Amino acid sequence: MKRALLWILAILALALALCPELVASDLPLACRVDGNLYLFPSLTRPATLDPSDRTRATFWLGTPIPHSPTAQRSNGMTEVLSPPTSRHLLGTDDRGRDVAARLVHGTRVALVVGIGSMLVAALLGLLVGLGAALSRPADAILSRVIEVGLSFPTLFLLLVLQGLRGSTSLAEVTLAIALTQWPHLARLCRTEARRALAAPHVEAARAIGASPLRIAVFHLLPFTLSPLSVALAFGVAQAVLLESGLSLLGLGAPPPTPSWGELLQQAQAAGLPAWLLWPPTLAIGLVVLLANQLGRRLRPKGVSGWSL
Amino acid sequence: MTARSALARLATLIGITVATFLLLELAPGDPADLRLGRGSNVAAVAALRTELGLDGGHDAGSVAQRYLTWLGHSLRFDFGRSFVDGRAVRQRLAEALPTTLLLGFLAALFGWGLGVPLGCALALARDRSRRLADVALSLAYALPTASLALILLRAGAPYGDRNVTLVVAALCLAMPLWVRIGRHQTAALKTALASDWARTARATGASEAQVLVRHALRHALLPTVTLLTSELPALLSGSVLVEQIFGLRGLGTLGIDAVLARDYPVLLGLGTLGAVLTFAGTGLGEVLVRWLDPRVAA
Repeated sequence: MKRALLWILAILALALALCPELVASDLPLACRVDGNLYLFPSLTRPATLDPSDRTRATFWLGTPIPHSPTAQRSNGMTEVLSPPTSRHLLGTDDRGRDVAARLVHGTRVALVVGIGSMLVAALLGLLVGLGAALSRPADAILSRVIEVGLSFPTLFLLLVLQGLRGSTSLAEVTLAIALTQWPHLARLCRTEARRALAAPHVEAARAIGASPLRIAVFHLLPFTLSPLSVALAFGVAQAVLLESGLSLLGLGAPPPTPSWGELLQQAQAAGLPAWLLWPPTLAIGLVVLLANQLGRRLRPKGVSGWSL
Repeated sequence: MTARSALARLATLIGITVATFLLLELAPGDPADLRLGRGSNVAAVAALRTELGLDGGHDAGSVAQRYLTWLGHSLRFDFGRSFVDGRAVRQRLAEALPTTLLLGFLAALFGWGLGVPLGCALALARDRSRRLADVALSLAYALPTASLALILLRAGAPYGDRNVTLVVAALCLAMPLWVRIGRHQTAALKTALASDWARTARATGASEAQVLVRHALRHALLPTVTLLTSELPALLSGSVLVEQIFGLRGLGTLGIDAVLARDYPVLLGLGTLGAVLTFAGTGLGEVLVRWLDPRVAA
């Protein structure tokens, strides 16, 4: 993939994650009802406007997918688990919700959890990694902590965490994934910081009496950022996969939240109809591909590591 | 193994038990109830409370004391009884373990069996076909394991026969693995093929394939073997999804059932077992690497 295309796709995905309401919503992008002009009601959801107002509207510019991701259709059973029709381009799920709308809104869960968990993990990883690089006694302990963290198979640990905590909010899923991913980043930061530690500029800084904290922040941290950003890109791919896996198992974000893994779960429960199986598969695949390719682009030539 | 690294590994093992114990402390409810299972008789709970040092309030037995008692039980693989059916967690884990181990073993076999030849082929391939293969591999790598499993299920292959199901499930699980191994192998082989001794071998009239098989492969296999140690947790955690989708009764399905039933003893036993398995696997990998290349003595 060309670099420019890659970035454009990444920005598009981010934009979609930030405001999926501009693409899929039961409220329009703009409309005029009873002489009142509404701009972007799909984003602001004004209390005075209802999707049923459409019949009275003099002007109604709908979103490309004019369905809410959560509105269930109770009239007529034919709309439940319906294959793609002109009304529902990707069909409907077991509660009659529009699959296309859920797919679009699922971007938010995937990317918020994917990016959010990796940012938390990076923070933890930086703290532990830099701490380990700075002092030998701390290193002996922190290295063991990292190893212990690496020993727990991610999904096993996630199962235990989700099982013990009970309720699962989006924030909890994010934190749980971060908790399983930080040791990888910590190990990377430690290695890179230790390498930088041997460099002449650190020796010089130490010679003029710089404090360990100063050395860590100004002289080691910059050297860990490049490998860290590569690992983060690969990590986002892993986190998105983990989130979809958790949702597939029914342990992800709570039920009405639209997520790609949840669509896969529905596909599994409904006998694997194509319209429930392929769209989330392609969506997850595309985001994972994007993140992995970004990681490869960010990585300098000749380096093969730094991935999770 | 040097004394120093053995000591470090021992410390890690202790760390694993501490981490699991902390998870146990996080669990809601009384550890005695946890161990015996809900609805067990009052006298037994009271006896265990005394044993665990829980009598007379929460801090009667210090955390350290409780940890040691718990460690004693865990060393005998005594993780208590399941809340759901009252059977020993040890027994339930023992029933599920073979399936997961077999699945992981098959997946590792496929991963290396497909990945290493693929890496060799790519190292010998021309630039153009290598670039094409790279695109294909990137696409394959992005395909979620769960989706692949569902797609294979849809294709209808492995209903009925358990062995066929296992093999198909292992192939699913191995998918990201062999792509990664193949890439790894290609990179290592290319470095090896560019070295001086490879040039010397070519000068004696050996063909490129001969240089690769006789000389380069030996050097390039080592990093691939070390990859085994880091891939093991990924295999175990991937098996959770694959087992659930293909309906295999392994550790993964056991864990999912335990989460849904809030069966804490099973969950914690599973966490410990997973960590210990990984720990044993990485240790084995380290020994293997040292045996393959005595120069690695750090």
